[in-house]
Amino acid sequence: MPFSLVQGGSSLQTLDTSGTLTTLTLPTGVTIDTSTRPRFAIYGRYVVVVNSPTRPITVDPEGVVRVLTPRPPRTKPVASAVAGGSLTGTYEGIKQSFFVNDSDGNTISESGMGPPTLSISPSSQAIQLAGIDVSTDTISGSRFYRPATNGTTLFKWFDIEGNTQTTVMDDLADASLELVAAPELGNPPDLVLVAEFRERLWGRSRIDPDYLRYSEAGKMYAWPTLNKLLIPRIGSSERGITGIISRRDSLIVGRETVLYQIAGSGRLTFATVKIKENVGIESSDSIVVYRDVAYWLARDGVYSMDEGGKITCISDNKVRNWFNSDTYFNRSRFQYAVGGVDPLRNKYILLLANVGDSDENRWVEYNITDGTWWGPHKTDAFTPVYVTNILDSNSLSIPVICSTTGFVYKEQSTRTDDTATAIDFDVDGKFHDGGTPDIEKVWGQPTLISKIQAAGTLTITPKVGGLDASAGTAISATMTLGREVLRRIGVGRFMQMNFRHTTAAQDVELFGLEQPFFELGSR
Amino acid sequence: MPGKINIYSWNGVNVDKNDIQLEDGDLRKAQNATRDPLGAQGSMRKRAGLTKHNSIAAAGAIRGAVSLPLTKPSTRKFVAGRYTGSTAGWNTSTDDFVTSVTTGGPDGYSASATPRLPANIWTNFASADDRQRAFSGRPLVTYKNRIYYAGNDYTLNTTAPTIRVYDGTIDYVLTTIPYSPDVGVQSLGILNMITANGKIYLSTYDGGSYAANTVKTRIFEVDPDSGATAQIGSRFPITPETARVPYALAWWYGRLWCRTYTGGVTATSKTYFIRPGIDDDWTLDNTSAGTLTCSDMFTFQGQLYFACIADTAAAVVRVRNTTGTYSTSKTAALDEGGGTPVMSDFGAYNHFGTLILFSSSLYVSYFNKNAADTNRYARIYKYDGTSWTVVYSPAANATTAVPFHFALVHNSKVYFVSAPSSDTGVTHNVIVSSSDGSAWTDVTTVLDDTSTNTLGIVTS
Repeated sequence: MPFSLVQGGSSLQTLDTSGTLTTLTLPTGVTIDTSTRPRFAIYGRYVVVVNSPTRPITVDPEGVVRVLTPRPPRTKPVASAVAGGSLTGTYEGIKQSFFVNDSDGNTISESGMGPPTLSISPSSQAIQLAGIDVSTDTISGSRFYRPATNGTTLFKWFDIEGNTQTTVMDDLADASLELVAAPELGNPPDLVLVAEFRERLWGRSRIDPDYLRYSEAGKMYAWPTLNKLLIPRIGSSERGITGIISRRDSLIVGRETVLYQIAGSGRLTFATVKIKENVGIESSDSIVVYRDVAYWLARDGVYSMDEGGKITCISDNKVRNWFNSDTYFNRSRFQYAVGGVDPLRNKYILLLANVGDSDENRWVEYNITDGTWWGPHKTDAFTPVYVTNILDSNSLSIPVICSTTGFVYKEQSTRTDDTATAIDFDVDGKFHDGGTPDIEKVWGQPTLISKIQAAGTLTITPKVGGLDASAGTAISATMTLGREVLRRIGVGRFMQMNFRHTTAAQDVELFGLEQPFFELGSR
Repeated sequence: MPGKINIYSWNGVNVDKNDIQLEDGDLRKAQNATRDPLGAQGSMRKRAGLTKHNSIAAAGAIRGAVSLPLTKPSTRKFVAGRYTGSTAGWNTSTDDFVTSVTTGGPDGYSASATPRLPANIWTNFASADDRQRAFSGRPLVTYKNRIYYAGNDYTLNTTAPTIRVYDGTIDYVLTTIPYSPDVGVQSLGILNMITANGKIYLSTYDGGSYAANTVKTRIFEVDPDSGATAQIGSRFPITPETARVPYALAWWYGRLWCRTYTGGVTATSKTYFIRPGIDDDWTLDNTSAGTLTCSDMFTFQGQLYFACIADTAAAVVRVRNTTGTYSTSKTAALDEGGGTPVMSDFGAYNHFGTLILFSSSLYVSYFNKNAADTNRYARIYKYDGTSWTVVYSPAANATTAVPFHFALVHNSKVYFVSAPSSDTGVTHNVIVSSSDGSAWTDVTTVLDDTSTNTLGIVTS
């Protein structure tokens, strides 16, 4: 069965489809900051977790947590020529690395190489390495690389399993060294962002925010120091790179106010191409790529990048005011906004902090199908902190909201949050003017058409008058009827209705409303 | 003038336009209201409720989560060889042997897909001594969630032994062992199998007699994906030996290692290594490697350990270090102290049986049947790199006082599997397991008395 990985407090836990949590054992010396949000990338059969752990880690399907890359050897082995071999020549720069194998013997991680040995010149002898370092991480063994006779290019020499041996010797002939030169290795930085693109991991270091770092292709653990790209403009902001968007065929890197695309296919050809000025990424956690369309929160609204690469502000002309005023949300926390997708309803969900609050306790939703916005939603049952998807027992993705209290909330058809908390359905319509805002009207008896429910009463509170009209006497609409003609609304130039329902376990589904009126004239 | 506003399309929220320019279906606020395409498209509906997925809270606020489309193993299918009368087959458990096993093999096995019988090799490979029937080989490995095993679907001396693979769904022949030119007949069976270097390495018993010192053996490399099979090095015996052939195999130091066997427990055995793909033939290791025959070899903390067999002296665990020096790491004692039953004496072929790495320590089984042939003793030793301790030691002649000759680690548990019967009238059908190396659970009657040393696990 599929499962999910959650960060609960200072623990990593797996969550199965029946809701059972299992706490995973972290590698020695690795801790998780409870206040920091983890960032994930899925690479092969592993989940890479960065930002909240003190070192980048991986989790496999069995729940085994490992450091992404063991720390490299620290000391220089002492090379000497000893009897019992057949090597003759000069060998300089022998290096050691630490590797980790999976249970099938496949190398799944290898550290950067340690310091090189000094020159050694055996004469029909073997080379012995003494004083080799042992790892402080859990490893499978040490790997040694040496050049061919009188050469400089390193080739894989041999492995020694375990983490206790400090002396090894071998006399493998040059012709028996691996034909391919030693791989480029290196340890990942303390990553705060991570994404997978074209068999590489890409990320941003905590202390070097202007550079995009990347791993070797096919090796999530190998991060040579040369594998980095400057994302202009260096030093232009404290936050540096604020998000990485991995799409089907393009990798987008954003600062707060600019977007770049990464072009090229390798270190020699990788380059940054500016694709948008004045649009950046405000929150990396708001990024969602769904059906190859990316959605994210920028400073002034929510943007999308479609399959053709066109960038559009999807909040403009509808809810731009949400993101560009202090009326609705705490804009200082936009960098912590979290995005998710509801694949069942084809919606992009964005978790934001209510104005004046410091938790991302509200969420809005963008209907991808028709471009409508809904919300801001809230719940009185818990405080949301994260929105994501989990897989159900049928391996189907379902949206969930995670709470400060350690619970993952999924949808239920019963219109109740948690066990008994009512959902506060609270909708304001427009101020209707019948196309004649200057004319006084008699607003007659509206007809409400709704789905017939088993029970429930909807409270409709009209406002009649000018645009500053006060709320009038509430009207009760019975949800069990399906059609109900309500009382006459009143007289005024405008009429607005508020629809509210706050009873637990009762649904509301409004098909439509018909509101007759009669123009009286203007003064 | 009369008019009417009909709203049958809710447009969602618009807070950008002024009140005059809004469309009739526009909303200023839609708290907990949504457009639900799951049967309610077009209408405005209260959003779905939210219910807890986990009944017990996580360890704190859930700051992040990700789902994996990967299967976390939920079913673990244990299959162990069995042999009842003339019927070979499997015992299968899906609950880690908590309840009774089922026989006949899991779905997907063909009727002929059974592990090869120890009788196919021990009649001639070992001596007539019951004790030596412990050396029936380890003809099964689990690799990448598949079980590779020596099949029993061949006719001894007539058709080629098979290597079969079972992936939890289907079972098929991966490869066969080629004709042996040394003995002029088909190979008789598979002795040992290991996985290393992305390959399966196995040793064969091609024919000849233990007693007459004429046993022939080859070692093969099998690609677990394609089944491509290739002989590694020369056919044994090789110079400087004339009679002894490999029994145990191990991968260490980037090399395949073997140590020879037959010729009696006191015969001088030797260690060879080869670098598959690099070396053409086997290289004799340090000539001062000692003389003891071993039943298993294993890598631990960068050194190669040998589970050795003794005659009437105490058996030992030998170790070869990275510079070629052999030494003794452990010598079995009659009295290991503590609660370990004290043995009366060391009988013939008292031996360390099988080695396994579990929870960063080396575990090795030990078996001794005293000279009077009256008492059986079994132990499991643990070596943490510094000291040896006995972690399992049933009473003499207990049902679990049997020779364990196959070990497996899976899902943070270690399993030791008994060798086929070596004592007339005494059953040896035992698997013991432990999740901490201290407390052991024995599963009796899982195996049948003449079952071979096989235990594999596939997950789904």
